[in-house]
Amino acid sequence: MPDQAAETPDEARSQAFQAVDGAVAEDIAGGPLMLGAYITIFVLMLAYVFRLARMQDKTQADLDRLSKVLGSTSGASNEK
Amino acid sequence: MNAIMQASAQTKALWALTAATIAQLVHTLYAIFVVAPVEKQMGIVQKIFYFHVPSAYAMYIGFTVCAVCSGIYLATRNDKWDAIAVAGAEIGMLFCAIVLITGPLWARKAWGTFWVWDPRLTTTLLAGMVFFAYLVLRNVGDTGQVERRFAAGLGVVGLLDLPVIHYSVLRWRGTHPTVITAKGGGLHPDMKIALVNGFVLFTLLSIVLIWTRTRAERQRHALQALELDAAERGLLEES
Repeated sequence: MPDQAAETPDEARSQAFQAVDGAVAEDIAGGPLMLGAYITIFVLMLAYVFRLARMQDKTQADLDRLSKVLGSTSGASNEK
Repeated sequence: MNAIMQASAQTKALWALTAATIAQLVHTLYAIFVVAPVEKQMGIVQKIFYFHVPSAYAMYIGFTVCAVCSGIYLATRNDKWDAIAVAGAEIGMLFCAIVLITGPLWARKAWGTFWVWDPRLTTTLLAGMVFFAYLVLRNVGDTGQVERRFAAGLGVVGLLDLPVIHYSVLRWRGTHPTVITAKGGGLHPDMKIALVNGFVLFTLLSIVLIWTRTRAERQRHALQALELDAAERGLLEES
């Protein structure tokens, strides 16, 4: 596969990020977009951790139920 | 007794790693919002980059773990590998969702639109759909051996898309930035510090989450085996 041909100015894409000089002037407000992105990341992470915790709780509850059943059954067989 | 001690040591190690991850999170946020300067052309929205790129890297980790462990599971039929594969798919999907949400938020400012059918965006969406299908297969109804094997096959196939995502930005025309690739012009030194911290943070995060999810899945496997055993012996009919 041949390498990408030279890009026209319309096709040009970012190849470097540089620090701003002086005051920041923006046409579309980037602040809410950035805030939205970081809030989304933290919400998704916390939701996943919460889901993991619920899954562990359910497994523990099922284990306790099973232990109780097995315990009562073995107790009954010991009495016999 | 040995198994109990081993499990206890693993739990301690997991907690230590979790603490290190939280400390690294604080350090990374400081590097992003205090150390790294605002970018000249895009402004403050460029700060999405410090979590977006490491999220994509963590997505690769998750999906690769899923694909490799699915392959080993198919070869050995050992449930341990299946548990790790499920964990890898879930964590990969979580980071894929982060990539596919934060990317468009950045694009709205940089490109004036939330989405374009750029090769990298399209192939990332495709990978997300493949592993989403894997997770649907694993979570709908009771997962038997056949479903597990079929899902494992899908996980292996999903691996084929990962190099396509990575090289799409270099091989095909598109609008996605190439800042940190060989074609790119690089980063301001303080931006590099923030990005490196982001990579360390997301490496730790993916290890902690895959480890925790694997433990949970293995406990579920053990519970299912116990329930099956108890049911076969008629012990569960009374409950």
